Amino acid sequence: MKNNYLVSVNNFEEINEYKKVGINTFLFALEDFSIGYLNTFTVEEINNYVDSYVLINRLLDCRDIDNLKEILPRLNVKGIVYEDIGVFQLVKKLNLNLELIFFQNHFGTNAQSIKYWLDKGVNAVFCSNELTYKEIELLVNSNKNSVVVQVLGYNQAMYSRRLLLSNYHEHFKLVNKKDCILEEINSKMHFRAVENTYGTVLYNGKLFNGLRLTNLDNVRYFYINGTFLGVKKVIEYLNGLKTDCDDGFLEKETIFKLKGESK
Amino acid sequence: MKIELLAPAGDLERLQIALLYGADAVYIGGQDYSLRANALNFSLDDMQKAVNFAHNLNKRVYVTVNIVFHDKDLKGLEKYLQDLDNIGIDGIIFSDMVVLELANKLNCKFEKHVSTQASTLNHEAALFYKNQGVCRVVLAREASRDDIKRIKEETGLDLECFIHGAMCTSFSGRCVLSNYVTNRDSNRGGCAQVCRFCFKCDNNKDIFSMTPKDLNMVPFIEDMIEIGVNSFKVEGRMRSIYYIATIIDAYRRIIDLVVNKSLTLAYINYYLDILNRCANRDSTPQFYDKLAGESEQYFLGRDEVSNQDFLGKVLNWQDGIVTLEQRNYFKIGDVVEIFGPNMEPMTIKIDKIWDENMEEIEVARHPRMIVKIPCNVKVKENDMMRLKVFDIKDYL
Repeated sequence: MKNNYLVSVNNFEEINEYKKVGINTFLFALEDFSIGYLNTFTVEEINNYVDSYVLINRLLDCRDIDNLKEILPRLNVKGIVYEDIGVFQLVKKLNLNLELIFFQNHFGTNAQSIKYWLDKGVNAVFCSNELTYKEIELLVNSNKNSVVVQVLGYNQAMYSRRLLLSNYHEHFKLVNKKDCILEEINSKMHFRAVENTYGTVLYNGKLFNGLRLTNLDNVRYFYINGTFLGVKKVIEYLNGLKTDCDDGFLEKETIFKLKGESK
Repeated sequence: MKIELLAPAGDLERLQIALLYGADAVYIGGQDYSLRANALNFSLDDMQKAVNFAHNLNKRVYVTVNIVFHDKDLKGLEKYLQDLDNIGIDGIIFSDMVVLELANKLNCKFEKHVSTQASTLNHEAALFYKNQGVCRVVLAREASRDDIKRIKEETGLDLECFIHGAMCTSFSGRCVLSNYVTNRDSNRGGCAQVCRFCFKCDNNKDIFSMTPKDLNMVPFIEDMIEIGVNSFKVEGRMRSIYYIATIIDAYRRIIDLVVNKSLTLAYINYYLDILNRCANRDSTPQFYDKLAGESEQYFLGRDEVSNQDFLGKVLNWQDGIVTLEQRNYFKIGDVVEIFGPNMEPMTIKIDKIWDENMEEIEVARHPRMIVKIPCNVKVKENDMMRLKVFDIKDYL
C-alpha cells in the first residue's frame, strides 16, 4: 500500500485504526470554517495531531476572514487545505509556517494553472474530480510531488450558500433534516445533500473509487474522503474487499459543445 | 466615480440594442473559451465590428474567457488573447489563472477582470487578485452589502456586481451537477441547469426544484452606488432583444435618476413592474440585504410564465407612418406603447394597420411580417412597441 494517503476523519477513534494499516496523515474539518463534512473539530482538538492538516473549505466572507485571522495563529499543525484564495493571502500576510494545499473544487484542471499556484507559494494543489485518468496523469507528471489526487469517497457535485434543505422542509412544512438523499426524477440519479449554517453541499450519490490512480508515481497525497464511509469501509476498499462503486469521469470525458465534437 | 451599466450581448444585434438603449459597456463571448458554449457567440470578425460600434459611441466591450481550462483547451489560447488585444477589446473576464498569467506574459493592453466564477466574497481574496494585475473583480452573487462595502474600502478595486437576471443555485463555478447528470461540463460552458430539474427528497411525495428566483436590484441601486460599486451587470447573453432593451432602458433611467438625485419610490415601483412583467420568473434582491431563504426559491418545478407584450420592432418612420417588424399578435383598437432610447414611452391607440403593400388589415398576426401604423410623433429604427400595461402617471 502507498504511504502517502491523506484521509479525512470522522472521529479520533478512527485514527488508531488507520495507523494500523500505515495511514498517518489526517485531515480535520475545522469547526465553523468547513462545509459538507458531517463532523468538525475545534482548534484545540486538532492541535493534538501536529502532523495533520486542517480543512477550511468554505467560501469566506469578510467577517469570516476577520475571525480566521484570530484562529490561524493558534493552529499547531502541518498545514491547511483550503478553498478560498483569501486564506492563502491571509497566511502569507501573517507569515505563518503552515503548508498550503489548495483545494478549489472543480478547478485544478490543467497543469499550467496548478504550476501558477505552486509558483505563488502554494505547496500542493488538488486536481479536479471531473478529469479523465489521462488528464490526471498529465497533471501529476507536469507538477511532480505537488498534486493531490482524490481516490476514494463521495465526490462533491455542488456547493450552495443557500440552506437548500431547510428551505425545502420549511416550504413543505416538514421536520427539518440536515442530511438527505435527493433523487433527480428523470435520470433517477441520487445526490446526498448535507447542510450546515453556512450552506449546502451535494455529493454524487455513487461512491467514487479511483484507487487505480494509486498506480501513479510522484503524487503528493492520495486523498480519501472518509465522510459517510468510516474507517472500516475505507480499509475494506483499500484492501480490495469491496469494489462496488463508480470510477467517475476517469474513462468518461465530459462534453460542453452540443454540436460537433467535444473540444 | 464612473458608474457603468454593463449589458450582456449574445450577438451583434443584441450588442447594438444594448448600447443604444443605454448600456455603457457590453460583455460578449467568443466562439471558444466562453461559458455559454452553445450560444451563437462572436467570431473575431464580429468582435471587431462590435468594438468599432461600441468605441464609436465611446463605450466598451469586454470578452469572457471564463471557462475552467483542461490542458487540451489551452491550445490556441495564446493566439486568441493576442487577437483580442489586436482587435482592441477593453477587457477580458476570466476565472482560470492560466488566462491571467498568459495575458500578463503577452503584455496584453486590455484590462483583466476576475469573473464571478471565482466566487470572491472577501477583501483578502480581492487583494490577491489586485496584486496580480487585476483591476476589477466581479463579485460573487452571494456577496452581501457589508462585504461589498468592505471589499471596496480595503482594496479600492473596481467592483462589478450583478443587478439583474438569473441566479445559479450554487456558488458560480462550484457546481458540476450537469457533469454527473448529462455529462456536459458546466465549467466549460455546457451547464444543463440541472438545479432547475425536478427532484424528490428522501422519497417524500413532493416533487421540487431548487430553482432560484431571479435577481432584481432596483430597490438598492442608489445604495450600491453609495458604497462604491462601479459596474452594474445584467445577466443574460442568450436573452432576446426585447428583454435586453427593456432591462437596460429601465436601469439606465434608474441610474440617471440616482445621479440626478431624483429617484423616488414612485419610479422604483414603476420600473419594478416593468421589469417583472418582462421576465418570466419572479425576482428579488437575493443575498444583498439578507441570506436568501425559502422565499427566494421556486419549489414546484418550472413555475415560469411568459407574455406576448413585445409587439414589434421599429424599422423606420416617415410622414406620420411607422413601419414595424411584427413580433406578436396585435389588432386595431389595441393600446400600445412605443419606447426607445432618449424618449419617454409614447402611448398609441391603434386605429389602422397596413401590410407592407399598404393594404389595410385588421390584425397583425404573422411573426416578423412587415406592418405599418399611423404615428404622429417621429420614432426611430430600433425603438420597440409593446402592449401598454403600466403608465408612469399612475405611480407619480
